[in-house]
Amino acid sequence: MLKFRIARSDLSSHWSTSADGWQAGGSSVLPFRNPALESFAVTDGERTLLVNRERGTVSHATAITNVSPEELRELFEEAVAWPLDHLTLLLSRHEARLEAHAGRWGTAPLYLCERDGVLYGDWDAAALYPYLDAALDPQLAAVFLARFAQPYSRRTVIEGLMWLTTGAHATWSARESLSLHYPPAEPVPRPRPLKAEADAPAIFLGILEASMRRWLDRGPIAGAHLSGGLDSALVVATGARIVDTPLRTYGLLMTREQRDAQQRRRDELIARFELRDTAVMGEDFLPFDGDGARMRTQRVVPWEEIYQEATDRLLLAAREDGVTMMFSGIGGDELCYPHATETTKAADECGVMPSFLTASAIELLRDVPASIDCAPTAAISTSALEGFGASATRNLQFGLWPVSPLATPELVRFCRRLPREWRDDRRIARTALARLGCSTVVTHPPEVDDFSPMFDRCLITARRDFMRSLFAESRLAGLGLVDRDRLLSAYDASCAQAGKEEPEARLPFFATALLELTLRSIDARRPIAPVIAA
Amino acid sequence: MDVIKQISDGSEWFETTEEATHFSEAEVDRATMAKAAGARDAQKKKKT
Repeated sequence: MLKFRIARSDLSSHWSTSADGWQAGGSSVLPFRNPALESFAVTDGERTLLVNRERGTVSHATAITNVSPEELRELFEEAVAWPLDHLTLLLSRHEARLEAHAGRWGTAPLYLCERDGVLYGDWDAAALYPYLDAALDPQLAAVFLARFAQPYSRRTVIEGLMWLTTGAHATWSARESLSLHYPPAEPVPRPRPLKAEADAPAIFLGILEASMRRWLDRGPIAGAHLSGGLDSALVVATGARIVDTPLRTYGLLMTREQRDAQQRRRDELIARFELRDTAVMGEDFLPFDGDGARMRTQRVVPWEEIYQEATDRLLLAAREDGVTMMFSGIGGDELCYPHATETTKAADECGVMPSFLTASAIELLRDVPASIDCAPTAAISTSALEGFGASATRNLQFGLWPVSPLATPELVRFCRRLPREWRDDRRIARTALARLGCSTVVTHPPEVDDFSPMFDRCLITARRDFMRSLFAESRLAGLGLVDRDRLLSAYDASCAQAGKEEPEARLPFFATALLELTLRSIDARRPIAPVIAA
Repeated sequence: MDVIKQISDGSEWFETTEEATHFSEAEVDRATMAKAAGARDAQKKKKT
C-alpha cells in the first residue's frame, strides 16, 4: 500500500507533505491512492505517524496534522488495530527509528530491502530490484525448484528481499539493521456442532454479503474475476445482488478443449445475474509472451501469477471500464480444507524430486520444512495469503484494489468451525450457490477447471526454444542448484512425454525458468555504477 | 468507522462459542504441514 525510500540520515528530520505523499530531506513515502483506501498523517513534533489503509471515512489527506503526544499514541493504537487492511509507519526523530506495521489481511504485501543506509519499501517487489544483488536464498531456491512454492515467510527466495507478512512489523533505526517480527499465532478454529435450527448456507451467504457491502458502500467501482468456477461464481452472484448497476466481470478462458464447459457455466451466470462481461482467450497471451509487461520490462517475480500476460489483459480492460476495485475468488478452496485431525495426508509429501537438482540442492531440502521461517498461523489461510502475493502487485499496477470476499477472517472462522459434512465436497459453497439461483451446471460441474492444455502449450510448443535457451545458459547451474545437462535432457524428455504424463510433472521446469528470469531481471535493473574520474 | 463495523461470524449458530486455544506445538506443526500439502495441491491445480 506504500512505496518509500528512507535514508538513515533523514530519520531525525521533520516530515512534510509532498505532491504525492510525504517527504523528509531526500526521503519519501507514497501512499497508494484508490477510492477503497484512505491515508492520513499526524505528528507530535517528535514522532510522525503515516497511515494508508482500507477505508473508514477520511479519504486521502496527506497534510500532516499536529497532535499531542497522547493523541498520537491513541491514533497509532487505533491504526495498528484497524479491522481492515492497513500499512502504518511510525517514525521517531529522537530515537532515529522507524516501525512499519502490516494489517491482518495481507491483501497487498509490502516488500522491504536495505542498501547503503537506505530502507526501501514497495508493494511491487520488482521495484526493489535496483537495490538488490542477483542472488538467491539457497534453501528457498531449492524449495522453489522442487515444489514451485515460495513459503509464506518474511524470507523470500530472493536474497535480501523481505516480505512483511500479515500482522508483522518491521523495525529499522540509525543503530539497527532491518528486522521483521511476526505476530503471535492466531487461534485455530476447530469444528463444532451446529445448532439444530442453524441454516448454514443462509449464514454463509449473510456473512459473505455483509463483508462485500463493506467495500461497496462508498467509493469504489467494483469489477470481479469470473472464471465460472465455484469461487468466482459465489463472489459474482453475491456481488451482483448488491450493486446498483450491472456488475462488470472479467474471465480468462481456457483452451478450446475445455472451453465449452467453462462457457456454459459463465453463460448461465452472465445471463442470470445480468453481468457485463469481458473475456480473454488465455492461449492468445501465454506466459513469457514477448509483448507482455513481464518480458518487455524484465520484471519477473517468481511468486507472481503464472498467467500474468493474460491476466494483465483482463486488468487493463477493467481499468478502461473505470473499475477501481476487483473482487476475486481467492481463498474459496481453503474454506473447506480438512483439518489436520481429519486428514492422513503425509506432511512431507512433495512428489518426485526433479532429476536435474544437484546433490547440494537436495541436501538443502532435507531440513525442509522445519528450518523454513514460516509466518505463524493467521486469521486467513496461508495459501490464500500466498495467492494475494501472486496477484496483488498486478492489480495495483493497474490502479485496482484487490478484494477477496472468500478470504475474510469472519468467513474463514465460520467455515473452519463447520462440521465436516458441510465442508466435504464443498457442500456449503455448492448449496449457497444453489440458493442464489444457480443450476447444477454451475454448482456441480463434472470436472474442475483444467488449465493444463494451456500450460502444456506454453511449455512444450510455444516457448520451447526460449526455455531451452534459458536452460542452456543456466545461472542456477552456476549457483550449484541444477545440473545444466540433466536439466536440458530432462526437459526434452518431458516434452516428448506430453500427453503421457501429468502436466504437473513439468512444473519444475516452469519454476526453473522463473528463477532464471528473476536473476536476469535483477541484473538488468541494477543501476550501472557511476564512473568516478580520478 | 461505519463501513468497517465488525459483523457476525455466525458464532451464535454453533452449539458452543468456546473458541479453541492455540494448538500445542506438535499440533501446529501438523496443521501447518497439512495446510502446506493442501496448498500445494491447490496451487498445482490452478497453475497447470
